[in-house]
Amino acid sequence: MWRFTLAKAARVKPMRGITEVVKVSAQNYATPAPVPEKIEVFVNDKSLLVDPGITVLQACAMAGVEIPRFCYHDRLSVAGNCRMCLVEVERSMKPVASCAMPVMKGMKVKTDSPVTRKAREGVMEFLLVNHPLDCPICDQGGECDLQDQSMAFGSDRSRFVDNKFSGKRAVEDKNVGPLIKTIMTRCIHCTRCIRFASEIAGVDDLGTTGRGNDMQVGTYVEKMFKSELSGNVIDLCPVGALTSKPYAFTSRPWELRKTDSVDVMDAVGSNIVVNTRCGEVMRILPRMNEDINEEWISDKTRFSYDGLKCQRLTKPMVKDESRNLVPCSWEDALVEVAQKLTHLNGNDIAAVAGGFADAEALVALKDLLNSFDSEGLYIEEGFPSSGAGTDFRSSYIMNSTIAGIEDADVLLIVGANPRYEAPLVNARIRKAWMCNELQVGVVGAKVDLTYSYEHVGETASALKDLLSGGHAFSKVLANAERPMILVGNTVLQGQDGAAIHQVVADMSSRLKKSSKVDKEWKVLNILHRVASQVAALDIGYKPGVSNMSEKPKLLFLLGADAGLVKREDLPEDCFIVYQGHHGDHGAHLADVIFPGAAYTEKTATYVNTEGRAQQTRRAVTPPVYARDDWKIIRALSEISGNTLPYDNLDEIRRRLSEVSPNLTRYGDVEEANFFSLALGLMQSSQAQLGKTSLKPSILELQDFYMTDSISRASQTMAKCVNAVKTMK
Amino acid sequence: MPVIEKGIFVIHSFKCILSNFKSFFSLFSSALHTRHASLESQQRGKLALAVNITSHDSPVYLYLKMAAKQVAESAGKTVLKPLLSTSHVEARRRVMNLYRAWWREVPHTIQGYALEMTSKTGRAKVREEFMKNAHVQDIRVIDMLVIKGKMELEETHNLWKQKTHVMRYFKETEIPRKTEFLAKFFDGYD
Repeated sequence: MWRFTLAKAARVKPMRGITEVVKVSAQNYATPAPVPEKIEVFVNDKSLLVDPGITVLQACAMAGVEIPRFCYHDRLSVAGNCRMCLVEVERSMKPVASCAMPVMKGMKVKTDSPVTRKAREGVMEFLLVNHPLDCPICDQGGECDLQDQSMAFGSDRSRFVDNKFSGKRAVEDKNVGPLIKTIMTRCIHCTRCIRFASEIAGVDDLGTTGRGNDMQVGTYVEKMFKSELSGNVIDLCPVGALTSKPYAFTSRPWELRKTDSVDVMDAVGSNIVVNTRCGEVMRILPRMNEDINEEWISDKTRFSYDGLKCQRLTKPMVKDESRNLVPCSWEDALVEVAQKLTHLNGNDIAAVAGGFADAEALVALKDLLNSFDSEGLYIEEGFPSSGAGTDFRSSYIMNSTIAGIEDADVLLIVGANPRYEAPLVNARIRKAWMCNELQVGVVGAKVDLTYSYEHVGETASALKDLLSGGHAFSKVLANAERPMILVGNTVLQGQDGAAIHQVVADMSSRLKKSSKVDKEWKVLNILHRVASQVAALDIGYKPGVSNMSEKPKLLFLLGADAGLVKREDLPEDCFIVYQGHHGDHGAHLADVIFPGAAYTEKTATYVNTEGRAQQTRRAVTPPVYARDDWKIIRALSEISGNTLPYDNLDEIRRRLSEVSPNLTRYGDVEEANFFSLALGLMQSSQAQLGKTSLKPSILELQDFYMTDSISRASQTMAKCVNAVKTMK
Repeated sequence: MPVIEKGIFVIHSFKCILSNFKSFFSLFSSALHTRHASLESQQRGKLALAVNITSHDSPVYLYLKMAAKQVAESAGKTVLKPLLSTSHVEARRRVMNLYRAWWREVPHTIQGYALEMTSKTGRAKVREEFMKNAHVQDIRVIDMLVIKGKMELEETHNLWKQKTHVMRYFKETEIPRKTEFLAKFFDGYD
């Protein structure tokens, strides 16, 4: 990790909405100040103009000199306790800790002087005095900052004299749950984990006890580190004190093949690196993306990969005479379905896509069904369809983007629990709350978020109060310059979803019209829960299984595993085809099973809740006879006689851009507009607000871990649920 | 008389001189590693063995000179312009000689290249390679195949090859990759 820090530290660009100075000293929660003039400093006699207020370490990074460090991390507050970043500053008595020292006019920093080198060597020696020599069995080996820096800056000879093995300092290991393995003897007390827990995760579980040689990092009493972001401390730990429990002793970093990809466990689309070895996913690490996940990922993203190895559908299957599913060849399975397809009317065919469906498969499936005169294309996850429904993109995406949260000054969360539905959106809200004094209001069930908020009301009637100005929080909203309304998709699926959608759209447009609010600022934001939703709506799928008007004789399930499609709701002679990667709810209903590829096994497009198209990349091959999802549908189309006009990825991507050009503009957020038009159409419907509590889908941490077919198959996730329930 | 031009011998006709492989082999051994023997101008009805002769004291040069002398002595007897053999019997004898030489060579090859196979397998392959050309009737073509076979033998015998070159005889027949979508889909590759 240390190797990548130069670029990171050098990146002192202004954060959105707050000044440069504040970003650097964001940890001090300073109020924005006018940007003063640049000052001149000298790094190794090289003159450099820098902003006042940045640290010596950052100035050095801008000059292209990397200062070794353990405790400093540019997203955490400055601790300054490892002393590794000591540098010589001219006319200073002692070497200074560059991570904590602000630059001063005319400062002359020497990063490679004998004094600096001696200081580093000394610090290194002290750190190693009580660090175990267990690198060969340490999971951090090969990506350990201590290892790397002792090679680069340590002494070339040892003063180790304890040949009788009287023993080094030893610390008892802590049990902090099933995800993080602790070997506390290796800890060098950088306190990154503690700062992460209290600043980013918002869980003050970690801390230190004792002083000096007796200092220990831990949870005081034995308890679980209960956070949805806990896995990030593994990446933060510069040594092997905190390592991944599921990954323990499985592989070395130099054996791993790394594939840049995108997470699909929620609708955020966190950027990840899939680490594989011998065609097996060994671990998943975050990839930096300032606009989405910064450098964090949620525990479900990081640890549910073992679910990709269990409960997989590996062979095509059809039901035999005794109604049992038996494995068969692809030809047999495809012919079986093709025969049904060709003998049915368009009205008798329908399809339901689930949360993991990629845009390629969605487009192929839509083209296939359309070629058989069927329009019965649905997604499991619902969304209000009255009024304009999903005709306007602005009504169903997170318009002001995730990074835009940092610009907002007031946020109203409606029926969402971002902490568990989108942990990284929540981390962003917490960041804005901490550094930017974001005011948060919540309508809906009270949930444990990681920041304080005003609970406006439990039911949708609170929204009416806010709209009419009858609530205290409506003043806050009205005075906001950059207000944001974040609506959870769970409440939009309910009985009064359409009405809630209408109210929030109305409220958004009123806020937007306010003279204080910038014309470009967008207020309405929808927080989706599943990765496929935005792409499916872009492509033209109808939301909600409950809205299905067809009585299908052939139902095609594309990874529909939420358990919303039930046999009893379907006609008795309904023939169900399930295509997906896990033997979950959908596969239990199926008459024919097509084994598909999971997100680590295909190059596929997903659009996150902001409307940002991103692609996963194939890191491993699909198991046994499983195939890319769109290819299965393409093969079926050929066998059933209506061959789809694309044979390879490029061709289907071309088709994707035909359907909706934003689907292939990878990495970009495609902005949406027409708010007022959408609102006008919404108001034409006569939806009524209900009186039930607006409950998000996940209220407790224990419900966060297993929400979809992959995480339900994951042993690690099951252990987490168990640990949350049993460990105090 | 054979025409000697620009280092290329065009052999019009000569009788077989050598009855056994070994002497022929030793004659060819030093010059033929240039691998320039090629069959050409069959269409024009004029068959020529083009051998790049590097120097005038090379064994090939001398051999061909000798052959030419003999041809001159029996001028007018042959109508065709044979390479080496003048009759099927003679060509067959050459083939059998080559076959025997390979037969004896196989155990040495296996030993020399540390091949993981028995002599039986190797000899079966030799037989297979010979039988590939069993249909060839043209004496001149047979002769040329024999010459090439001898060159192969020499390269094999002297360990000029690598193991992989020898093992290429055993390469399984390559199935061309399918290009239609469905075929690729069933076979499971992109």
